[in-house]
Amino acid sequence: MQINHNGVVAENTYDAIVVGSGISGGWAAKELTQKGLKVLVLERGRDLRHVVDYQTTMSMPWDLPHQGRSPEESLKLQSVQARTGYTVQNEGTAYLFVKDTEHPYIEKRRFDWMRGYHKGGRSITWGKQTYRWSQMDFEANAKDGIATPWPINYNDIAPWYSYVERFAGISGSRENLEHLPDSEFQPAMDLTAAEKILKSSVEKKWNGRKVIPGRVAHLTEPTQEQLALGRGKCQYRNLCSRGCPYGAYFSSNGATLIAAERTSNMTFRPHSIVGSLIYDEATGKAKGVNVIDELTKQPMEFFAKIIFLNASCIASTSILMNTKTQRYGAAGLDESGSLGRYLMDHHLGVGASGTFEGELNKTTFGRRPNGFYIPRFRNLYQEGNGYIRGFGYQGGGTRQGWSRDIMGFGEDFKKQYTSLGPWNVNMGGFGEWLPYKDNMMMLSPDKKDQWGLPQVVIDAGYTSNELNMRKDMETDAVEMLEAMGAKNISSRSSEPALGLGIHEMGTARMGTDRKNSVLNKWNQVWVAPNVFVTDGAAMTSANCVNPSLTYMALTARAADYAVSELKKGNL
Amino acid sequence: MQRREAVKIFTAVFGASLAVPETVFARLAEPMDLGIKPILLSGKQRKTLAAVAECIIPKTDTPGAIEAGVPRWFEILLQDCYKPDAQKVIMDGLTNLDAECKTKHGSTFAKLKMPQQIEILTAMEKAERDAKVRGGFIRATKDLVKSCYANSEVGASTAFEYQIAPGRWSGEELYKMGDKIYL
Repeated sequence: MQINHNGVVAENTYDAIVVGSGISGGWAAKELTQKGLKVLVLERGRDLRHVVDYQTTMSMPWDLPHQGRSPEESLKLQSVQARTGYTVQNEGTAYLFVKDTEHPYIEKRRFDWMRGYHKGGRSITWGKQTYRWSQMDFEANAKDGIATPWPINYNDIAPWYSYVERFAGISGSRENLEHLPDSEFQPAMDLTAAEKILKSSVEKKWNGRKVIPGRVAHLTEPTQEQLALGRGKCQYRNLCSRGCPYGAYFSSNGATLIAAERTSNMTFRPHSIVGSLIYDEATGKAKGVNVIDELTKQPMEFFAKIIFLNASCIASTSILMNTKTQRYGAAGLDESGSLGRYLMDHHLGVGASGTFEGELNKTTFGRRPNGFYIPRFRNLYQEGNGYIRGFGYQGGGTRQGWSRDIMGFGEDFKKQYTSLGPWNVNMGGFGEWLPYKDNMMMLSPDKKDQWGLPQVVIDAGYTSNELNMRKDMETDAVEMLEAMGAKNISSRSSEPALGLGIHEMGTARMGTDRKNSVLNKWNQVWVAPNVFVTDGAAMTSANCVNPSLTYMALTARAADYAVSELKKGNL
Repeated sequence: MQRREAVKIFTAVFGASLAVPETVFARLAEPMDLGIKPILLSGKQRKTLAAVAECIIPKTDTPGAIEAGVPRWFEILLQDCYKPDAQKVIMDGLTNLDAECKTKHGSTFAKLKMPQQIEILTAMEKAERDAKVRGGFIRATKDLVKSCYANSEVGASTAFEYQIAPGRWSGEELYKMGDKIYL
């Protein structure tokens, strides 16, 4: 029996430890277990069994105590989570986000941190929009001379995009766009009649602009592999964020963790909060993790040859920061000075909507968990007004229903109320947020959470690049609606809020050199090469597309490298 | 009924290798009854509210607001999901409506005939719009009545149709006024 330095038996020793079970942790678990490693997956929150624990998934609107509206009492416990309508304002999904009263952090400047602490993390509630990055995006930092260059090119990641797409299942249309490469697609979800008018009007008027079906991680034509995992075709419920009983959209719980479980190589441990890594000064590697049991608050140690940090951007970075060593001091596992810096997100809350009064003999059937997408065109086909990079739009065009404003009472009112109104066409921009050195997170020197771990402090904001971009995001949306002949157009632009995109990323970036980054081109921590970080923390720039697909591809790629290095005896 | 359909789809998708027993699925379909009781409104306000709700969505060839249980839903949502100032707009509105009807028509609102009730509400709505009041009594009440009806079991399975699992998506489906709307 092997005994480690604390006298803990080898039962706590695995080949690999994966910290976190969200979208990237699920991939790490799947890849490492399928390659034969014995893997411990540590999840800080509760277990959330696929289907069985999706408590509202089959609820009709009238089955929910408030027909789907969250009561004020529960919103008070989730006051940060309630800053967006996307999360807890819906009674059916509120149980999949944290109670802010239990998980405090410190906002030096406003930062909206949306979190789901349970098996699968935010892979249960994500928007499922999936877009590849292009070579242009990986070159952008070097070309603009900002932040630090990416250490990888499109060709490094392209095969891994294909690999994860075939498993996850992506619905979309082939467009042959150089700046938004096609994925391995299952059939796209059709545009609506109004969206087709928008498409033809926009594509006719502006060179290079496209209106395409959103690309989403939903099964529209499942493969044998997907069916064998117990996943089925999308049923167009659009109740996704409650958890899907058909496994039709990609989540850790419904896909990667099932695959991992079937290898019999995975040990899944919920209620396991990782506070720091156990660093071996002699070897310069991490030999394990310090864990606090969420419920009993007992400290524990687990050991492994390789460790994947997939706790989400801020949590993974916290773990690196909270790992104090003689060699690198109190700042954590980093010698570049970039750890905790360059926090990014996508900025949104800007766009326009209008009504369209043609095609009134048409409507839609089903509730599409998707819409249209307008890929980036600024600083590609049309120059941006006073900023670098660009933005894309997500939107939808559907008939107005009962909730529209209708004057009157009685039978006449009821007739209108139970009929469809004109089309409503809406689009919202997703803009690139640049990586700024001063956009940072730290660990509080004195404030701790109930597990004795230092609270996270966030201090980050925007500059004129984001603000100028938002002017175009607002104006371009209006102009495109005008081009299709929409009426009653109204535009919106709120103050950009970091975190609200729920795409926080970048605080342990990849780079070309140990002096400019925390991670190398294989997502290996420069100063602890058996530790890999493959969640949002690894991002060197943000681009303007939804990031999860890139996290998946980076994770699969890093896992493949880690196992081959392990076999060579290099780790 | 529809839920049974959804379970069928589920079984068809997963076939014999069903990872989750059907009984679990049935359990997931249980209403989440938390035993919430409406306690916000007075008896008088309830009577007025019921009459207003029925004026907004009267019984026609499909059930009206009262038959759909709108007044009860309305009160539960108002008491649990609205902030005090928004609650006050509606509660004061109900009380004032009754007081005004007594002064002008010598009867509570609920006891007037529907055509007269509708006339009164129509005038109030016009006045509210003309004054550009945001979140006024009529607008707020109509919004909540509309929502409670569309999300009620009766409303969503008679005047509208709600399917828990539509099963397909079509971006272009023919429609004419009078066709039932799928929620």
